[in-house]
Amino acid sequence: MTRGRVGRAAILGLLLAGCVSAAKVADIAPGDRPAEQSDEAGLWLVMERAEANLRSSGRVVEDPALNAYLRSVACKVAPELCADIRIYLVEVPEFNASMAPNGFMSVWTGLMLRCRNEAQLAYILGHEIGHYQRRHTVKQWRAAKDTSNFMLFANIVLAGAGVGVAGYAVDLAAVGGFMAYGRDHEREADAIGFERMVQAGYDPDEAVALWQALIEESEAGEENQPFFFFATHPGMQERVKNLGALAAIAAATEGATNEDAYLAATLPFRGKWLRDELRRRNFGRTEVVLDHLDHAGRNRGEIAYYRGELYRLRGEDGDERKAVEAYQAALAQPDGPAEARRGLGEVYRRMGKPEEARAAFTEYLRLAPDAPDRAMIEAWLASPS
Amino acid sequence: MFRCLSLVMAILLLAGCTSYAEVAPTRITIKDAYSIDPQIAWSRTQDGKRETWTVDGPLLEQLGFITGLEEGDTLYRVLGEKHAPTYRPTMSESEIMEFVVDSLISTGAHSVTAANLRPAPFGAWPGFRFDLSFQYPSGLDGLGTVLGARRDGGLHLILYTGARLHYFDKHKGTVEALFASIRT
Repeated sequence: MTRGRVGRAAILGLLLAGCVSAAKVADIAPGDRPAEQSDEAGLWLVMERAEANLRSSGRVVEDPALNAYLRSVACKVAPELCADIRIYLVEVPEFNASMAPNGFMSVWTGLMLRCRNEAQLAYILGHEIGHYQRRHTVKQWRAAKDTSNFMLFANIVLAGAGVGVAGYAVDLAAVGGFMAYGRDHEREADAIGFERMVQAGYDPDEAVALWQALIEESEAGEENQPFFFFATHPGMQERVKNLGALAAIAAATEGATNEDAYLAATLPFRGKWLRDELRRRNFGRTEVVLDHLDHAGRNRGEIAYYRGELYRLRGEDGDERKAVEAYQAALAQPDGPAEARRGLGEVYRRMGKPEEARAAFTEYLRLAPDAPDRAMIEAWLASPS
Repeated sequence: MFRCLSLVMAILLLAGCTSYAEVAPTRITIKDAYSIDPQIAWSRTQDGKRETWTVDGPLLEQLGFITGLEEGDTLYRVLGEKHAPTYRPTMSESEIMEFVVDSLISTGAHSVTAANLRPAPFGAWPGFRFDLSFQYPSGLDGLGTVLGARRDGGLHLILYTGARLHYFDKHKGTVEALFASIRT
């Protein structure tokens, strides 16, 4: 049989196998594979297709060192399942991670930008592995068969498999659909994530610290909307309360944050992730992200530069002055990028200060010989004031 | 997530309703702003300040005319996106290039880079031009070139984009001749 025929048969079996529900679903064991012709095998097949689509999407960060680091943290929190899990770092500037029943996990770069240290990342990875360990997708699939949501869920499966009118966007939505676990499953994954991070030797207070930072950020956003990650999750405040109680119990545990290791792995990418974050034009939210990153005190020139970029792009009353101050703060730091001078030039030009703009642009071109806008700026510099 | 899926399906359904009309290879006026010689026959669809021409299909190659963009306008219509980049007349040419890049990304393109921003005539108007490379949402590599100018507070852009494999190059010569034919 061809792969396509196998796929269609498995999906058909998945849709027709209506009498499997209600049986107890055991935790997954290392190396487990679902039985052929089972509904779970159909789910795995759908996710294998979604995984292949993601791999060819061009959105996966392929840097070997960063991927090795991500994998090493996952293996610390789940050594027994590590060999069965594949992690993809996906370039999307939002806080989200998801886990498929076949062991394919995606972590979005917006999440990496927001974690302050390895302990926080370990908690998230432990949470996602909790979904895998408890086979939450299979449980949800079987539960859906007994509800009016079944056809909707089935349509998502078909779309994800490319059987319907699915394109890439629908595939992504389908993957997300699988990740929309019920709140009970989320609470369970929270507890597993917490337990795993503590067992791996991380500071238990960091789980609460992560959610508190996200609450602050969410409240600063223009629409005060929860993150993708929280769409079906227990409320943020409930999560903080539950994790705080767990952390109090674990208070005697000495835990590490491994902040230095986390920053060493992620700082080379942080500028790009900040640029992607700014493109979302959710300026209130981004301002809080920058405040949190500044807290660590590393690469402060870079952070000040992106703060200047935020004010330049937002362009509200008073933002020109704030942008100038931020760019100047960036340039006072050893890692202040040359682009801060371009930003200064743009803002000075907008403020009607041509001489200051000329000085900033001239210095920018000297420091950035391959500037993508060199010819345009040179033409402006050559024009009469 | 189900709401998200519904949105995707709505976009797919609406896309199926887009109607195209033929553009003959004779000089044509774009929104009463300027005229061009299309060089060859194209298919055209219009939507307010935006119109799209294509020969082989918009997912393979397209020529976008954005005419008279004003304060607060977005480059593309992006359903459900409340934070799409908006145009400001105070933008420099560098910032317009940034606006185009960020707008493309808001539509689902990724790995977008812009290069070689330079002065270029837009008919008799002083204009600017830059080049793009990007990936379509599907992961297909794409290339682009953009010609623009500002006139009477409005931004005019012509964006030619296409698949790096074959289609961008297939019509690039035609587009260069079309750019050179602009009369303002």
